[in-house]
Amino acid sequence: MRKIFLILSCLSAIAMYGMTIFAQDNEKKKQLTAEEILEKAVRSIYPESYFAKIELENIKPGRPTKTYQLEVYRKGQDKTLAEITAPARERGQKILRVEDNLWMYFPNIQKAIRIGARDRLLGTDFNQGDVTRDLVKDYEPNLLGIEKLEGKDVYKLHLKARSKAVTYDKMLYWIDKETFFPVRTEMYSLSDKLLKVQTYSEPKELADRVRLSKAVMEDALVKDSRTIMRIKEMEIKGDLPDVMFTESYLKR
Amino acid sequence: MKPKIFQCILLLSAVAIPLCYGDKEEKLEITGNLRNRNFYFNASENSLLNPNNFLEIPIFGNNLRLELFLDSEVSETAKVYLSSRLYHSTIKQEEEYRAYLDEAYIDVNFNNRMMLRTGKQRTVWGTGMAWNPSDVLNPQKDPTDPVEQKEGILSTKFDIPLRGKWGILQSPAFTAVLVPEVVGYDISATHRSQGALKFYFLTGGFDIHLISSFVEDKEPMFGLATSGVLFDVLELHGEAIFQKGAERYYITNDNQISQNKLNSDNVFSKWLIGTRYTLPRDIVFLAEYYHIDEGYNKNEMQNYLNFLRSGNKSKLSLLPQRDLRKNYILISWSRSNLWDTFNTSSRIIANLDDSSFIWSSRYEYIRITNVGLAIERYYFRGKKESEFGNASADSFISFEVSLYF
Repeated sequence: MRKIFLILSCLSAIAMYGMTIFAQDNEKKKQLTAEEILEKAVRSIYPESYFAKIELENIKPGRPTKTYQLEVYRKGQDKTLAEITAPARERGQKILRVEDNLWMYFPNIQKAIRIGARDRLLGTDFNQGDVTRDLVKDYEPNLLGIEKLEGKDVYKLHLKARSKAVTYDKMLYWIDKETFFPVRTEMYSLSDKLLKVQTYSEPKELADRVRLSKAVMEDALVKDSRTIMRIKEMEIKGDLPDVMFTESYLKR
Repeated sequence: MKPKIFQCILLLSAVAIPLCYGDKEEKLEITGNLRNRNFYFNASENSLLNPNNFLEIPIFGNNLRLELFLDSEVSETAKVYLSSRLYHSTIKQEEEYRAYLDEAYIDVNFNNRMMLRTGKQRTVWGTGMAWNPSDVLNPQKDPTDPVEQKEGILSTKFDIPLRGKWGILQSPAFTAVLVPEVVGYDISATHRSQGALKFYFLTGGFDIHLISSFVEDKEPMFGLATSGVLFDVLELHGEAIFQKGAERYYITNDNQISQNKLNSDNVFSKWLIGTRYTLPRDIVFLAEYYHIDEGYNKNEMQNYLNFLRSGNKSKLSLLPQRDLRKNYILISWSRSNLWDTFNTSSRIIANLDDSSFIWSSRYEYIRITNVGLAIERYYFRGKKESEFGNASADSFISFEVSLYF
């Protein structure tokens, strides 16, 4: 009887040791890398390839609010096509991004002009790069730690631009630890000057899952100047043809 | 001119009505704009703008323009597009109606492997803003108002995108255009057909367009156009066209129009280089230099001016109306969304051979959605016998209201 008890005790000890090791392994697996956190955060808003209807509301103190409607097609990290559908005055203008190359198409002269990512989008607080670029591809993330923001546990990431072609040299990015929804982004210049602050809200069923549908971009240099971006509709589009993302297709 | 309006309306209706009552109603889009422009125009006695005092000046006038665009997807792979302009002008109590069918074409997409567009259409090639020497399919545009070139030509165009990358060549694509009849090509008004080819690719962040044009019984033209952005803010562009020998019209010393085939052993070129830089606060600075090998020399220019003054207007349309000399520059700066209230722009086009220039400024009030209020002014400066200085007393001011729908 004593022998049986001894054997059972040994087996229990081995099993507990095994479970501890397993739990530690699991814990290690749960500790995501900065790249994985960033990827999860970006994909929590946008799928890899999609079509979306977006509204931009440009609010400037003491001036009438201007609203723009855009239709955006995105294929992977490198290809984005956005077309302005309203107001009528700007309708038909298109923005194309292929990797680091950006074009703006003007229907009145039937010409696509090369632009830089730092050019402003329709006079709003968004730059061309803000709506067409992909953070995962353009920035190298570094996890600074976990902190409390708006009552939530959030990851704090430091994003460093991988090339000089991107709009901002540095960003700080806060991501909800539970949902991986982005909470706040701060954009900085090369000289560490705060340029813009972006906040995210309004979870909504979009493209087969709950995603954040509202982003507010505030110009840190101009008081009360902000632009609200709302995703009105979104659907996953895995089969967008490559030809859509070419300079000649802009004229079609 | 009135029948043209009816033709235009008839054509628009013929396409629009069946579509409006058909299954594809949701895919029909009619858009456009209405612009009312009041203008004041004055010109000196010897002005190029008013040769031989053809017009009684000064002129206060009114010009009402309706632009209509019809875009209809008739099936998943085909669409019809129409673009037209209707004008009603009043100058010195005389009314005039004009109508233009700028474009009317059918687009067919063959499974994204080839796109066909046939009908009256514009095919704009080139990367320059004021001038496009490699735009071999359109009449020379007015550099002071490049937006106003709207009328297309009857042609058939094939766009063939090539899949994947060719080594360092990204997004390669061929374009072929066939023009059954080139209009007003030479004095004999011989009907000639034209073919043009373009090969496009993206490499090293720069667009490259290789262009060739073949007009029946003429020397072929070969050219290229390029544009790209450096350091995310500095846009560079350039284009050139080359032709063995060059044909041009000029005025002889005895005041006759003559055609001269320049030495066909030499290659003549037209080329342009330019840059655009975006400064803080959305201020865009643009500069371009344009060179024309076969531009008029001083003596030929003098003959040209004398010809205009002589009142001999026969075949005047064959002569170049602009870009007469060899060297030009454009300097422009613009600011969009100034206080979210104004778009402002100013540009200088200078003839470097005779040091004359045009300076134009435009201020547009944009605070009301889909309504634009604009004032525009042109100044002409230079010596008496120069391209723009000849019009030194000229002035043109306009005020316009536009409604977009």
